[in-house]
Amino acid sequence: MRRAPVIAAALLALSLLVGAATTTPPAAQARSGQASTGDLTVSVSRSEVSALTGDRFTFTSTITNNGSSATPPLIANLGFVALDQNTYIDPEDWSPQRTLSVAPIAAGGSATQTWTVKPVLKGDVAVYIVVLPEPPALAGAGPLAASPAIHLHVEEHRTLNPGGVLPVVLAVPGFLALAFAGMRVARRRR
Amino acid sequence: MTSLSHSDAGLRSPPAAPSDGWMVVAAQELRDVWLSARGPIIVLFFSLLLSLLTYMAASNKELNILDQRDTVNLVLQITLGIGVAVGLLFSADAISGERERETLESLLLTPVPRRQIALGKLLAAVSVWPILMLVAVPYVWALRAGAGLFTDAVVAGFVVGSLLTVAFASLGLIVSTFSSLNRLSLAASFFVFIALLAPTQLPVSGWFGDLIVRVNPVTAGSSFLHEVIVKQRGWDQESTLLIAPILAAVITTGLAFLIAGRLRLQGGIER
Repeated sequence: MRRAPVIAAALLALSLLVGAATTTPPAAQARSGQASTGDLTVSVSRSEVSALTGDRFTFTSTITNNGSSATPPLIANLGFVALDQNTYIDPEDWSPQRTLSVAPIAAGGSATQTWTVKPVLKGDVAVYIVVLPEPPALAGAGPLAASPAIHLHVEEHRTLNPGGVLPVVLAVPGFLALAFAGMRVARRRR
Repeated sequence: MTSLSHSDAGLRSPPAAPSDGWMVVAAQELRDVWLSARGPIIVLFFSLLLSLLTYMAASNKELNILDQRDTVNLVLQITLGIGVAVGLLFSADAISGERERETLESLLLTPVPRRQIALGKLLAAVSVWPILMLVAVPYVWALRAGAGLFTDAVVAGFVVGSLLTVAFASLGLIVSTFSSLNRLSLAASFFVFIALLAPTQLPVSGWFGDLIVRVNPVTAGSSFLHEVIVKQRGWDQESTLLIAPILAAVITTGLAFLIAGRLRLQGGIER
């Protein structure tokens, strides 16, 4: 019977410790009621793409909020990673718009974005979408949500076929040279 | 160089009607440009330049990444630049060249009004532009991405190029009218052209940059071509960019004819 106060005191201390450990930090308290990026899943409409340099292709990404509350405003970003040593990627060349703002997504809701990619060099590239909350919710948001990568295989292709332009490239100066030479000859004969 | 024969100028037979004098001068100047080596060689070298550029655009790996619209725009911008420069240099030589070769006196003695002499010389100077544009058409056709782009590019290029060529050829004529030395006339005219062309290669931004683009006829014309050909914008959306080239053409041509009425044997500014 004398142990009861001890057990009660121990339980009280334990509950205080647990309470202290699970107390929400001030920044997080400000966002209480908003789903974190951990509640988001990002999917893409394609898993593999084969393209030629200079081609354009589009795909969509869908951000789904699996949390119980709405998300803050989000930023979706299109990223590229070269899968071989020989491909240099300047992302600005590969897509005209790589960042999109996404309005808050309600609990259980989703938002879809459309992306355009124009491969400019041959090689194997991973294309992915990463989603992060807009500031001020960015601080302490935890791991960012990312989509599965799209495996993009690019083969080299010349947009303007040299064989196609060759007749014009040769014929125009040739025609002009003949025409002007003919004019000179005709003038001398007169 | 205009050297009118008596029959040309109508001194032996009844004098030519003053309204026809510009045609006589223009015909003689056109013969000088196109039957001598000057005009044909310029056109031939221009076609070789476009051939090189077109082949590089088609085969070079880096340039090949350029969108076809960008390539067509590049071809037309080069055509425009060369057309305007040639028209300017021909007109800058028109009066001061005659003065330096001592043939201006005989020209002034003909019964052709001085403004008509200026008109004839101006027409001959700008005659290179439509020929250069005609030469550029097959290249635009070869590089086009579609029939719509071809028509837009050719029409926009011809309109902008015609306005700028007339404007700069008139400017060259004004400078040439005052200049005693042909070198001075050519250098001064070409300097003005380069000074106005330079902003097209500079990264201008902000309200001041936008002002420069719209006020400078060269940058305005160049931007108009870029907007219509590359960005596929309608003429009505970008029509304000044509204001500067139109004003430049009207004002310089008017000034050139006004000043041509005071054309004198000696150069310099009359006091």
